[in-house]
Amino acid sequence: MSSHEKAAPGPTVIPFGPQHPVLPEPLHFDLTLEDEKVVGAIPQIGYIHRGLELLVEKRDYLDYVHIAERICGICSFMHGMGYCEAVETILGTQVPDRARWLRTFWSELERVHSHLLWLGLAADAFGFENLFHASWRARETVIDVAEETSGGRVIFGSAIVGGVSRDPGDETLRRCMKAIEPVRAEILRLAQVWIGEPTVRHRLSGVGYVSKEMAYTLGAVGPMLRASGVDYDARAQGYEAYGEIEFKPVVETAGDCMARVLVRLGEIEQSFRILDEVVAKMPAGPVSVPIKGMPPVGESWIRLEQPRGEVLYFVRSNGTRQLERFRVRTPTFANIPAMVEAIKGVSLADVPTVILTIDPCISCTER
Amino acid sequence: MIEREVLTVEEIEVSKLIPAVDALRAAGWRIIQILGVSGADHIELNYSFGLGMQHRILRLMVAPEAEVPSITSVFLGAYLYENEIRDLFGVKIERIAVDWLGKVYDPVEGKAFSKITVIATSSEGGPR
Amino acid sequence: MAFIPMTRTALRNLFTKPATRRYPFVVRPTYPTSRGRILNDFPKCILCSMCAKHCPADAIVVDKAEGLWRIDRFACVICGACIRACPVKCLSMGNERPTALDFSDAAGRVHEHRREAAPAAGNGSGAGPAGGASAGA
Repeated sequence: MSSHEKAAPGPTVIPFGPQHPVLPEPLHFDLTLEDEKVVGAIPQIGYIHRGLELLVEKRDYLDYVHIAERICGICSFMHGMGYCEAVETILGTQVPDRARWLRTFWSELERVHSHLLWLGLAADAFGFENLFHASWRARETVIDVAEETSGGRVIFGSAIVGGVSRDPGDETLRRCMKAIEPVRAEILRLAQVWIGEPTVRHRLSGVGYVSKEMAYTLGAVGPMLRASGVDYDARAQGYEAYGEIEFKPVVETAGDCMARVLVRLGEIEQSFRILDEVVAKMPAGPVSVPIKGMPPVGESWIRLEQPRGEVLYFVRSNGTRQLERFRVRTPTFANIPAMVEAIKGVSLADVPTVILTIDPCISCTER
Repeated sequence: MIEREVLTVEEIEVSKLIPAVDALRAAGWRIIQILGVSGADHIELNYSFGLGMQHRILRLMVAPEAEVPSITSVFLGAYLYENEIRDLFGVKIERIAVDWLGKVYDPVEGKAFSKITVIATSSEGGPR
Repeated sequence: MAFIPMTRTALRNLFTKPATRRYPFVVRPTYPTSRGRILNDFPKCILCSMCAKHCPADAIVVDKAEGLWRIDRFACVICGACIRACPVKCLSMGNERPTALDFSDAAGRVHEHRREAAPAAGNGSGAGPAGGASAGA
């Protein structure tokens, strides 16, 4: 629009993504703008659809856990664990106690590392590079702990049907918890910046508002839902060892990007407390039971709480070694309608912040 | 066995879908997901709803050319699930509130997840 | 005021050494239990190809007629399904991960073991180039 034209400014359509410096994963938007305000957004996914749900019909059901883990890099352990839980429900296997507590340990470790990664990306979205790298530096220690206990930094590789594949040992777990202590202090210092710094607050408060009613109707899950005041956390079902741990969902009411940052910071703090409790209460014993033979005919539905929200697994078996159907409904898939709603009304410079606020994991969404 | 949530599966017919979903919405349930499973001659649709720790599933058996009404009039957030099911299974879902016109994954061949073999009618797959 | 924590961090960063390692001059030692690479104790291997059947990445090729066991390290995701499937427990997990230099040519990506295939009557006197005892022992 050149300045000497006196025509009324009409809407402009700007394509956003799939390659964009702040997007961790490819996602495309056609943003309709009037001046600098977004009035409509049409998302487009499908850049990394790999058809992993069809692949389950070709792989042995015990080997598929390794593929399920690689649906996504950041939420990988819980995908493996959810698949294992779904198959174990069909088989009727009872997983040993120590395996349940180890799975809880690794789930919470994954939550911490995922939220720290997200804090860095969210800081990057509004240009605060120093905070981005400070968060990721804190995350390095957490990932080193993951490697020492499970063998892999990001993809743990420790969930198998029937339990877990390795036992790090109580000594290693206690040593690792001591190694994470400085990280907790660092995160408290960084939280002061997130909460107290006026420029951060200016970029985040009031941006991307989703009301409680809209979040509930649009089917949002996870921190997106809890930041709008709905008290729902799938861990309250008490799966794995969560039934034996002190735990309350972290809920905020403001419904904007700042509230989602606060929910995730609160969840990091809560996860550290849960990790302490898990390492203190871990029982002794074997860590897996052997699984042989074909699974019986049946189906199972499992819901877990991933860092990004509630994830649902559905497995149906037809009695052979290849499962008939495996379905993952990931939290980002459920949050996309809420994100599209939140984008309307923000200015163009805030679009990356709002997109990142649901913690988009497009690999999970598209399997 | 992992028994930790109250799970009920209810089979209903296509004509009763919207009233049942309306009743759930009025009672405060939220939509969790919509899932499709392909049988040899029909597609099974599972609508999941949640309230607290409860999980209720409405199950529909859909013949290949049957039409299913969209529940986006009740739960707007269901549009992504319905678009995906329409693209991957070929189920005819009518009047979806936000319609992506077959471009969710934009595959070369449509109905990739459907195992129904259509003998006489023409296929709508093929390069887009 | 909230700029104090970041100012303190920035000043600290000026006067301490970098948080990153000067790789490749400084290499982080791996943990003993890291998932690095799949190793085969070939004298024990019976070439049953259970590992190849269970590999989710199709990285292992076993040919009993030629006495060949080959793994494509580039395709391998070091998941350990083959280790759990092996009936004679000849597979194990090493903790050294292959580097980009290892993968820079095709020879570095593939690792194979061969042995002279013993004839079917099993006269058992052939010692293969990999130093293995005759197959089918």
